Amino acid sequence: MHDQDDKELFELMGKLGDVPFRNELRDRVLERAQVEMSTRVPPKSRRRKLIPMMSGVAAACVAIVIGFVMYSSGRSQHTTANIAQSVQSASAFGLANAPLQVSNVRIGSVKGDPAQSDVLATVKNTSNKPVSEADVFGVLSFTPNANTSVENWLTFVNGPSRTLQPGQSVLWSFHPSGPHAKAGSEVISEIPHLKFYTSQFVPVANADAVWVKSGLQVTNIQVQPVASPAKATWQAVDIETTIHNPSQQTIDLNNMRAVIWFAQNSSQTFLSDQSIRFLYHMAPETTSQHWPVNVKPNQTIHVSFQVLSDKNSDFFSRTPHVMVIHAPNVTS
Amino acid sequence: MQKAHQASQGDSAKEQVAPLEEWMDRYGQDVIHLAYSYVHNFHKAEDIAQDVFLRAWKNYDSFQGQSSVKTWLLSITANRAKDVLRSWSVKHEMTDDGTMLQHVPDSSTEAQVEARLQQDALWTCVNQLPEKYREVVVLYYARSLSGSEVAEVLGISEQAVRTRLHRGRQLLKEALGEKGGVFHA
Repeated sequence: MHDQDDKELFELMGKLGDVPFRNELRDRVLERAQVEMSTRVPPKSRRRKLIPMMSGVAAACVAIVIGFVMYSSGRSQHTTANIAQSVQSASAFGLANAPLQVSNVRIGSVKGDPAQSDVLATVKNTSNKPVSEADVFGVLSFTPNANTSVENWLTFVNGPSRTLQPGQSVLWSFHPSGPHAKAGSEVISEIPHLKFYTSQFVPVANADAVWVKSGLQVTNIQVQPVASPAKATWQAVDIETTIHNPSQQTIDLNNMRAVIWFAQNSSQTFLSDQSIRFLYHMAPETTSQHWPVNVKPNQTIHVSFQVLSDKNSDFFSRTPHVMVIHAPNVTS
Repeated sequence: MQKAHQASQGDSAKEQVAPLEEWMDRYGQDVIHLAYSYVHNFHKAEDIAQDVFLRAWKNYDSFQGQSSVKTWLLSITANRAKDVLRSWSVKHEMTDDGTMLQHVPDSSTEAQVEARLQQDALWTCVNQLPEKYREVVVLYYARSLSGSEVAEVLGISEQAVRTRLHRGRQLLKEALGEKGGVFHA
């Protein structure tokens, strides 16, 4: 194969130069590997039936896990034009606490909402710079009582919608909404916890919190619309994906959480307030659902989420991502 | 006792990541070069490279040893890059971010600037090749893999490699010709 043309091309292609493999990348890989090694499965959390409440991001997006079924090779695949494969290469995410002091987190109501159906909090900018909504993201979680630190429900929330000047305080509120409201009461009966992080990843070594990706592999993410009534103000899409446990250890889904986000571009993560994002337990939400809580070594299961949002959400012009992480500590 | 235990854990961790360090030192540039040739975006290529090394490290037990570590890593790279290209967002939005190579400093000589321009133009020609030809051309000519190694990485026959190399070479020469023979010595 080595004729004169070949020699010229070898010489020519040599001029392409090396694409640099930067030391920063090398360090990042080693850092992630170290985190993988140090990962410890958090204590098993006891699953409780949820209170009749749903929520999502402040943009009123709501979602519910509707079911997991065992994967079967004979199962028919419903594909759509907008099939997307999530691309997530990081194994751990370093998060920094936002410079927001959260106090007086309580259940109450704002004008127009049913009594005791909102979470309220006082949020103060403790830094010397303005903090905008895009600078932070939050996690709202609930515990059944004051004696436990293990949340039984959590969701992403946005920061205050107005920019907070240094030292400025604002009343933050969040109203969980969704199909569960139809069942009757929207009264919140559990203890809310609220934390805000900056919307930029930080090195794991410097992080206040580290969200560690599970060893579960998520592939074959498919999205398809769900029919809704003509006058509905909401829309739903099904997200179907395959989860595989390539490890030699059984993985307990009670100890995992699903991070789902619809990104506008390939670089947009779940930290962006422009993402449509959801955070979920990976366990049944209703008694009619059945799926394996423990994913055995080399087992593959099929997972299905139904995501609801307002009618104007542009799900199909975005890329869906599903990522499984170890349950983060978000209550302290 | 406590200290001894910690030291032992530390040594063990160091041993566990040792292969990873060695692979990155030896094959890091091969991996990121191949990834870049698929996605034409340095940041995305870095993401792919990171994913490749961590996947390989985590799945080293499954490495059969029937191929070399290098071709194994490059095989993972090719597959991961193709996964990325198949994703909707990449098809629609990924473009060369122009930061692949270090910026030419203001104090660069004319020759350095000229070399950089040649590199950019050459990458443009290579990137114009259809993927099936580009991948064999890059692996064979730019990364100096043998025909059998290219076949191993891409999971195709050596005959297919030869056929694609022949056609890829023709297409590349045509593209270079359109550039006005910039690269002729």
